[in-house]
Amino acid sequence: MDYSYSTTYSEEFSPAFFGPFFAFFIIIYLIIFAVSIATIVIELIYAKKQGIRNYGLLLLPIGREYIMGQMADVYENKNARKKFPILGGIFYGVVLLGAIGLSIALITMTISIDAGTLSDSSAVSLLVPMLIGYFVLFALEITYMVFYYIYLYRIFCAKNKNQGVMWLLLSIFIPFCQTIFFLVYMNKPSYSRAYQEAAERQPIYQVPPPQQY
Amino acid sequence: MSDTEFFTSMIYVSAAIGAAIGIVIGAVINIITMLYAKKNGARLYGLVWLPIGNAYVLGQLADKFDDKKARVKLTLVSLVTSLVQFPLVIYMYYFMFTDYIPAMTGLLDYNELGGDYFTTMFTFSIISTIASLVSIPYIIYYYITFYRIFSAKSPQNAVMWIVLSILFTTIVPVIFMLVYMNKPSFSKNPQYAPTSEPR
Repeated sequence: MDYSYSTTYSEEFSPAFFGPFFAFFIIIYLIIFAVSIATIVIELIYAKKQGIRNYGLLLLPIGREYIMGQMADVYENKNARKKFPILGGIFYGVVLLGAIGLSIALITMTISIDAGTLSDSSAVSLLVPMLIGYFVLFALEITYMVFYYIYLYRIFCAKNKNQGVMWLLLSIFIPFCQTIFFLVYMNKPSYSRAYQEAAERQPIYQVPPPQQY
Repeated sequence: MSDTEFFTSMIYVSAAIGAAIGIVIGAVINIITMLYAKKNGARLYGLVWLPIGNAYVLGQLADKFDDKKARVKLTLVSLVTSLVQFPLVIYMYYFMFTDYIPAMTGLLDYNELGGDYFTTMFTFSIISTIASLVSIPYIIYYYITFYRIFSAKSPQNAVMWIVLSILFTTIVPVIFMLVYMNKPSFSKNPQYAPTSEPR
């Protein structure tokens, strides 16, 4: 087969052909950018209206976990405001170390390939830590995701515990639903689990049971 | 054998191997689900082998925790989703064999790359996007059902189980069913739950 380049498709790769594609993607990226900014602003306002002190920390990597933990603790006080920032700190620290380590390994490998001094043993000694780091990062990411969604679930439940799972699933499959939740429930008060359960039980004792026919 | 023939045969061979592995994994999942349903008192547990019957059995298990007629609702949602998705999936397969695979194999002959290829890819992605959008209500209700199944066994860890079962789609519900197969189920209804308050 002839693998040489031909010029038969040059017209299709012309700016006239790709112009609309670029315009479309630029518009999509602008929309995503606007939605991200709106999400951050809505989250900030939500945290402020929940009476969280120093809600501006939401913009910082570990501060975000602290604020989320504070909001989750309203539903069930299980010290999420202390546990989640620690987990977040470990996660971000390992990501940072991994990025630095990967850059050093890649630079070392490139230099030794250029110099023609890359032996099998030195390649293995560079690749094995990279693989181990990858699996450690993967395990940490899963742990972080699970705790992130558990705390998000508690934030949802603080508003209405019977709809917590629905909002959780929606925000996993369609992440934008998280923003919609914050927008919808911005001005509603948060209640603890004990309070909501008591309020659910109360009518049973006060109102007579419905007649069975 | 030319490159195009080799590429086409590779697609069919990998599809056949994938289908075989899928059938084996599906059979194992169905057997475990059936045993779990049987031990937890679901009626007609053999229906797990059928697409819509599966929803009925899972709904019964969820209703053990919170009787909100999930066995009816999930079955209906599953039925409607299947009815809408079935023609789309059939069309997708038809499209795959008539347009998609020829377009992909045509890539090897460089002259066929062009506007036609992009149109094919675009149409295929639009159809598959519609097919997946249609199934969102079913997926949400499916996982709510699974949340109730998890809650019936361990209410404290149900959210952890549901997040894990979304991240690792099939393996986690199976592990859950294996672990909790012989443990007692609890109901959400206060009249069955132990409570220290006077009645």
